[in-house]
Amino acid sequence: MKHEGQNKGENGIQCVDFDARLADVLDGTVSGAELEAFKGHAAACDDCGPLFTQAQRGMLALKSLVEVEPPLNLVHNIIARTSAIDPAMALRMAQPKRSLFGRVREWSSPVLNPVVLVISQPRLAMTTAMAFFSLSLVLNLAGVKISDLRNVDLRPSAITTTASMQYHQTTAKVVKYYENIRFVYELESRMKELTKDATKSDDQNNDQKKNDQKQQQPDNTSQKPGSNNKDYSLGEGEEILAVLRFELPGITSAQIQNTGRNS
Amino acid sequence: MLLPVPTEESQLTAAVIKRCLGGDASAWEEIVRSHNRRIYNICYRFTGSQDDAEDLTQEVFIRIYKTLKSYDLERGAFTTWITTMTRNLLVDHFRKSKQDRVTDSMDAAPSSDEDAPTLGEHIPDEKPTPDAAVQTQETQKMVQQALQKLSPELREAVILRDLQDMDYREIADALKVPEGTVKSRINRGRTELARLLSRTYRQVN
Repeated sequence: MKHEGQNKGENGIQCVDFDARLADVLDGTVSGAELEAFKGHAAACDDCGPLFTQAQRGMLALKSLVEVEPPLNLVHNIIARTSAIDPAMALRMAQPKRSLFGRVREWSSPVLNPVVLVISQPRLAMTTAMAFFSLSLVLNLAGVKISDLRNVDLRPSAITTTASMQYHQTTAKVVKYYENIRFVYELESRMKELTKDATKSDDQNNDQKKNDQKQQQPDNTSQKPGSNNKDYSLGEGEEILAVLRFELPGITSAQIQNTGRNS
Repeated sequence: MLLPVPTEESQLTAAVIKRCLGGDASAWEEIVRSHNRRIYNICYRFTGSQDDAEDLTQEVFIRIYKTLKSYDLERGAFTTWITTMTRNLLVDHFRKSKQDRVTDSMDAAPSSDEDAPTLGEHIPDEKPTPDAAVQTQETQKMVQQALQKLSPELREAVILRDLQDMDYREIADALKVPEGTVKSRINRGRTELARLLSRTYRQVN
């Protein structure tokens, strides 16, 4: 830009200063004596005067331009193009933020909706309730509590660990129960054997007593048919190897026999 | 250089940017909706073409999206940062399109007939009249065409000052030039525009 009067100093203002202050004057930030000096220089200087006028007109011409309306689809197009860069952003943009439950429900709706339609029928409602009850019972027995579940428990490693612990705990319980049962059975069988042995000894004593009576009283026709019972616990031809004699001190077997007859 | 004091607006902007960087899509949409009009207007006034302005606005936002992490609130306002990005893209576009062939430089010879009727009667004076021609669509078109003939340096300066109402400090930050240079470019841009409009008017008549 030609500015020949750079060294002119009309009204105390150099042309260089005029150029520097021109923008401020047009902005309206200069006032008072400085503004008067500026206007005096513009009126007196052949170079700065037209410059001031033209700058003023140019500014007004620019200010007259109205703001243009951007295309309606501009925002959409911008988002679409940025989404092409980051598809994850596009997905998030298309879908408003939802809770975890909402996302799970939406994700599972294609599978769950038909199932819900079926089980909501009255004829299947009781079956569904029973199935739910059974499931909750099994979970309770297995020691699983839904309220204790956290996100961290749903990791594959956590699931594996929990399942393994549950399996071993359950196995230990079953083994312990079985061992206890076996101990009880063994105790019971021992008791039965002992009882059986005691019964055998009593029978043999009775047989011995009967034989003695037979020897003393050859005529046994007066005896009742039922009292002549054989000891069927012994097989035919088996001989008795040992007999337990039960005697109280001071009392003979004869006295016992007499006591038995009197009674 | 003094660091800008964080205002409430800049803090809000910082919060939106933080949300955007955190993956909040609605925050990015908020940024786009807040600034698209302004960016589009700068691009339109610089290029003079609606199609170019639309494409460039999209390019600006793609560049913002890619470089959002690099924005530092301490180094300046977000609007200034966006303006700088827009300006750089416009300059690149200008170089590619070789638009400087039709640019009328400030050094071009002024009209030989200085006594010819000026545009003073046809652009608004300090006292705008109701029937001022600048209010018409035709005058708007003429001003826009004259603006296209300014050199890119002068054009961007007057657009940011007279159309976007940015202050000199913000323009200096956006254009990476001293404040004095900004004022000088604005003065030259305005006077050159007035001369171009005068010449256009004389040609029309």
